[in-house]
Amino acid sequence: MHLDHDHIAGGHHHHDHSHTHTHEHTHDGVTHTHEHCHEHAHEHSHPHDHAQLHSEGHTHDHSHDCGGSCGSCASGCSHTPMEELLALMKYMISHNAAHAKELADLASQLEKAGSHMAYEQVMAAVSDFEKGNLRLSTVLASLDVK
Amino acid sequence: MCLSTVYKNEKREDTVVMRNVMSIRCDDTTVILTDLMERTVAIEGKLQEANLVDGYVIVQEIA
Repeated sequence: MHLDHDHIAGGHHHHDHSHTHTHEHTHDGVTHTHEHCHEHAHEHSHPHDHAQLHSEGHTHDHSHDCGGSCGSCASGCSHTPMEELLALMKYMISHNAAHAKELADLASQLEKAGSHMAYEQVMAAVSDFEKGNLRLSTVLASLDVK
Repeated sequence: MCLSTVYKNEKREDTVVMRNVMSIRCDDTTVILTDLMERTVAIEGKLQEANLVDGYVIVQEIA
């Protein structure tokens, strides 16, 4: 599964990259070296044909016009219902973690705004939220190894 | 960003085109949906509404 890649049939696809590098620059007579992290998205093509993509283990999109419903799809999608559930669960756990971070950031802003009590309550909620997410991760891990 | 359900023309259970949609691309006449499993569906139409709080999108099909 590629949550950060979009592969389009025909060899043309899209990648998101991030990489870190340092560079040196001078201002006000002082030379600094900074580390930067850039995120890039670019599209490019590979000269693979369809059969070669599969033989090399690449994945790419097919449209089966099944409306995303495997029950009504006669085209033989490669994903089982359990694989779909696991993919959805992985996504949700990751998504919950992102929301927990957003709530923690919100709590910090409440504290900066002078509401320490609210900060503590929201952070307690974040802790509960993370415990729930940890439980989900445990369930996912147990399903994933079967 | 949450996953969305995409409907055709109006928001009804029987107009669902795709669930768990993670990306939507549009060109002049086509809306291309990709779900969590990287399946794609292309609809000849245009984006009518995207409700990012309730997680649904309506695509107006070109008749």
